[in-house]
Amino acid sequence: MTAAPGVPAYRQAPGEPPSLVGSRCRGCGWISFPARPVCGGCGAEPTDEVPVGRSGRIRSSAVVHHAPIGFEPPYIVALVELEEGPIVFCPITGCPPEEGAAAPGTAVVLTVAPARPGGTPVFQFRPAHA
Amino acid sequence: MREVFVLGVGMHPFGRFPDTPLRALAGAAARAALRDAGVGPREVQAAYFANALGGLLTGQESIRGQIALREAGVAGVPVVNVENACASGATAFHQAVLAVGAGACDIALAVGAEKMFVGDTGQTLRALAASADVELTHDMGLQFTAIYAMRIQARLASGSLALRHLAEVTVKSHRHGRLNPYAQHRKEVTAEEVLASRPIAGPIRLLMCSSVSDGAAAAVVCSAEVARRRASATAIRVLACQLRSGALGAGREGQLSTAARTVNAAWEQAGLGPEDIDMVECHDATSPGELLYYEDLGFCKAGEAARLLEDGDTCHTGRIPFNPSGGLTSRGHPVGATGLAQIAEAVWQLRGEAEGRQIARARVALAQNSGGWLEGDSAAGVATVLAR
Ligand SMILES: [Zn+2]
Repeated sequence: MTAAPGVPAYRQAPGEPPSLVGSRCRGCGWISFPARPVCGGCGAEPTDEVPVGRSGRIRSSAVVHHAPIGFEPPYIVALVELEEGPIVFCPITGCPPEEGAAAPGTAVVLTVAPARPGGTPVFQFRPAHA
Repeated sequence: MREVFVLGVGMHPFGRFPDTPLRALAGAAARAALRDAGVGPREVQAAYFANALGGLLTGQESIRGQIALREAGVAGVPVVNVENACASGATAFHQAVLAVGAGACDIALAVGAEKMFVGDTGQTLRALAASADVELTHDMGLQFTAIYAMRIQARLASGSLALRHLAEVTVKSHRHGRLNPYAQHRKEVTAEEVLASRPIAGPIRLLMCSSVSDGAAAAVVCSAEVARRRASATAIRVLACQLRSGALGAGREGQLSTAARTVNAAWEQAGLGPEDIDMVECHDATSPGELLYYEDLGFCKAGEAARLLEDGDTCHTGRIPFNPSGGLTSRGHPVGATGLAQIAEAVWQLRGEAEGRQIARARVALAQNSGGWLEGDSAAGVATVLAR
């Protein structure tokens, strides 16, 4: 199962921190992730592509003990609430894979790296204090 | 919409059937439902076939319904292939109800079947992960138990649930499943065994999870006139059947869940509420998920799920039994079949034909099926209210 061609989830210019590719409604300002041509808040067009998700907060997380083939448990996955509002799923890096290490409310920042040995780079978050 | 009735239901037992192909599972359930309804295969005027993973697991991406339903002698009529992840089965039922309710036909068949034992568990788990947005979650290590684990972990962190509640609801699930001849897991477990079983994700342990499973379930739905002419004593009324998809921004703060929006629509259609319901079959893909549904479906207030469980209200002999079949956790979860297995269980309970697992006073039942995952919430939901 390959996932190409994928939606552009993140961008990273050389020397810049990465960001997720979202969209903002010109009418009401609602932010979508991934970017979409129609506003998810009011249903209107147009929207403009905007960088989002450089930071966020953990909504909920769990340590995965039984992993898909190729992944090395334990590792943490989470729902992260982006500072702009959208909820995204992704792995959490930069903290020990233990319950409580990525507790709800933890401030996190975006990073891009493979989530498994030899994997494709994916967007992830890490605790802001780390 | 016209009144719609369930005239017959049938199942192929859920479990591990390595030598039984998808079409044979589906055919057995369809034939059982037709027999139960007293309807011949050539009287079926439209059929809806639910299957979620067959394309990825067998390579048969298209026309699975036309192939499978031939096993039951159903062909020539409209056959629609239905896919809505784990909510495929109830979605097929919903389509059959709409077809009869709209007057497009008088007898429709809904069949859900899934063949998950294909000799390669990794392949089955990869296929399950395709119930999320693959382009966004690819190579992130997503496995579906973690989705429940995240919600449950947040509840443990807030103190509104404790580990013992996760264990106790699992004990209840297996106690119910033991009584169900169609269930995959028919052995009681203790709370200690549950908490000592292998950790899967967060607080979710192996015995709390629905397993990979093969199986099928089916229902024959019909108009009032057909119900009157046939075995009308056993016809069960469809008071509501509502299908919703996850809203944009569904998982954000302050949004109603897909399940809550779906069941609210069903209450409105039926003119009933949770206080009128005698039993619930809900989508406990992990057993602790049932605790979240107590609140989400309105059977108790937010934060009170633990008390509902502790009071014994939701056990088989309680005030409002949840998952008398054993639910997904104990009956098994062949994903495309689950929604129709819930309908079958509700029909058997309402008719008083559930034998060893029959609950005391079954007049009105709710079946609730969830599927897929987008933006932190279910991508699809179906809620059905049935009455005798
Ligand atoms: Zn807008």
